[in-house]
Amino acid sequence: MLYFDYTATTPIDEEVLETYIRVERSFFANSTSLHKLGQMSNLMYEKASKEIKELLGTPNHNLVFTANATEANNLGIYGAVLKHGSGRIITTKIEHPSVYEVFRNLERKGYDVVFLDIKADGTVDLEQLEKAMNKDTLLVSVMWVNNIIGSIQPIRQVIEIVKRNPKAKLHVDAVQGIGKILPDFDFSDVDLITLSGHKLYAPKGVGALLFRKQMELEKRLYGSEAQFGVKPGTISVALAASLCKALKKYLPLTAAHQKYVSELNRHLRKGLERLDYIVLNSGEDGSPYVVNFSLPGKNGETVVHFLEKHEIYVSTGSACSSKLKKPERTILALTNDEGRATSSIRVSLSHLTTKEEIDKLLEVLEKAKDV
Amino acid sequence: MYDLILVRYGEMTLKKKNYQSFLKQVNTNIKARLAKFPKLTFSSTNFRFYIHLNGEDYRMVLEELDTVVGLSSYSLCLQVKPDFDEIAAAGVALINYEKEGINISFKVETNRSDKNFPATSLEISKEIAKRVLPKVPGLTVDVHNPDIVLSIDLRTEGTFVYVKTLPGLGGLPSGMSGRGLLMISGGIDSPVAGYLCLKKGIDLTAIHFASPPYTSDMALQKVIDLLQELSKYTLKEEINLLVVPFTKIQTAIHQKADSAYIVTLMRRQMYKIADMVARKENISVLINGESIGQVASQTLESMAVINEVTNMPIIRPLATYDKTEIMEIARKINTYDISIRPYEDCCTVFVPEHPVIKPRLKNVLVQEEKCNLEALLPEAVAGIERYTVSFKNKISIFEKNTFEI
Repeated sequence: MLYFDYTATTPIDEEVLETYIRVERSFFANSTSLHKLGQMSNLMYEKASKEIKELLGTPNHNLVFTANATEANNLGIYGAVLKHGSGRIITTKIEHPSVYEVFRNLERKGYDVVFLDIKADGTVDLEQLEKAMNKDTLLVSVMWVNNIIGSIQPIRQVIEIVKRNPKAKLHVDAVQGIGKILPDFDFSDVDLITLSGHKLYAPKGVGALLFRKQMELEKRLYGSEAQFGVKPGTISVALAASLCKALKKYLPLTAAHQKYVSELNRHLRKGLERLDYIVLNSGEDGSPYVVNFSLPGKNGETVVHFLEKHEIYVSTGSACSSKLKKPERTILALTNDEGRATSSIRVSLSHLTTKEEIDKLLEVLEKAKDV
Repeated sequence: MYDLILVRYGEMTLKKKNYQSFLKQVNTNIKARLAKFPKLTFSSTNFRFYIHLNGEDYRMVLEELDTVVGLSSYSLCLQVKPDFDEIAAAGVALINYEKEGINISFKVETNRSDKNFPATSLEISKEIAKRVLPKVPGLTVDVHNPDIVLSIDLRTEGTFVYVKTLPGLGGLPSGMSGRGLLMISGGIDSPVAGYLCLKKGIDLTAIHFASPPYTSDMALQKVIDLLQELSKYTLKEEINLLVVPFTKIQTAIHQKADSAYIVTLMRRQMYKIADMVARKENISVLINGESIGQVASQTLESMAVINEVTNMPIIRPLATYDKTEIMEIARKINTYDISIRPYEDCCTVFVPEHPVIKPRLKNVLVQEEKCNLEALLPEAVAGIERYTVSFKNKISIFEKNTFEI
């Protein structure tokens, strides 16, 4: 089997799994229970939270463990925006659905929403952002690394622009960047940050939302006061510890992995450039972990199934939930070409990927010409 | 938004001869507490302290200032040139930033201690009001009940404009009033008593009596967590905790004395031990959370009989407070939720159904004699365990039960 869908999810790391099992066995007690076992669970939970904040350099943020990044994005964005009855909120046209759809819903609720265009290199148009910022701006949400084409957003500049308006808050979905590429910004300069565990070799079922301590988020879930009342409910200490373990293991390896995967990326791009029926959608300056390309005239899904027969797993990245083949939103925003947007394929890499695997992929892709 | 925070000192401003030593201490304390913000710079005069933000987040700086004892208030300022245009522009920016709602009223107050400025305070206020008014939609003037007061402070060290002034913690600077030994049980009162003493500049060491297995690790953790909260208000951001093994003394009293006297006798031994420890540690006063009439051991008669074992001064900051007043402070300093954790402490185990409310010393001494406690007291002192508690580095006695992630 050749797995090239690491952007969708990653296999669990053995050490992280061991942490999960060990913590789940020894610290099964409810972390809010007053007895000793409960206090021990609580201590492990606090340890996980504290260590993650130390790793990110965000001692002045609160951390809430969520079920996944979608939940973190929802709690963070709704929490920050619904605190205010009206105002402007700004995001990009290429956000993950768990951000994009939240903004669309807020638009229906009457908020003044701006969806920023992206430039040919897949990065957000900063001039548009500057123009869109006004004194009523409540929130700006820009992802760090795009999940479809891998473009790296200029978060450092976004921070500078948003900062000029003291009332506006900045949310960054860091899911596809963290542990994969080195940031050129400080996490402590971002008001709300979303993380996911399973994109970084931790189990499914855990994500995190960090938000600046001074912020009060409007509740979306009601229950106990656990996790600042933002995400009430019994905490899985083992999942919290697993996320911590994954970050602890992979953050220090970020530079090394980035370098290795960049070499793989160059090798793959070189191979793809030789295939004349393929158009690359990902730019060279993006995340090396994501290579998106289109096969104009073909259906993305058909290509996925063709590769699958050879036990090669890639993704279309498009929402084929219905029989209507909808064009991929990000590719469409990037290329304005429906043909490209319905025939896109996303190959995503990992430090676990080898050159041989890429050679095999290229070999099979050559046969895809006649699919 | 803001350029600087103007800090005004608290009660120490009433001092005369030793004002300078208070001033030096409080300035040192502010700078020490704000050392974690590298961009800040400071300046001061005899009655004011200026924190120049240089881009640091003022909210986080304020959060720290809120734990510095001895400050009366802070104003969030823009610093401008002593010139009508600049002052008015700053006023407009501040009102736009702070106003909530559309229709708001304001007035201008000017304090001109720099007499070089060529207009009187009243003239300045009028001129600035005239210039600001048309620039902010919905703004009106109300000199009696304004929503916003725009303050202009013309001083030799600079011209400051502000609309927001927040209260400080008050009290006297930490490190100016000697050391006290806080007797802490884990209830609601003792942490509040400790806080009130910290506010008066007293440096705290804490003493706690533990009676395992009747009291649990959780009860001890509760005390650690309480002191962690209090440590925010100390100079070094930490408090030393001395834990006295009290089981032997408590069981001896329980077995041998008339049950009505258990609490009186127990508290007398606690005072004796606290006295011994304080002398050993060079501490000059004892502090506790007693409040008159709250429980049997806190009637005036009980206090007298219990107090008889020591001639060390005992500060009881809560003596005249009602429980509701104490709870209010406990909530403010985040100790309330910790205090109500339902673990037994040494004051709640072995409590008789009908304790003596007005004990007589003569009878108490007879009961005490029966218990043979003399040898047990120094033994308890020798067995003291010492912890350094700080909110910066939380300690947990369950640490040994966990592992590194």
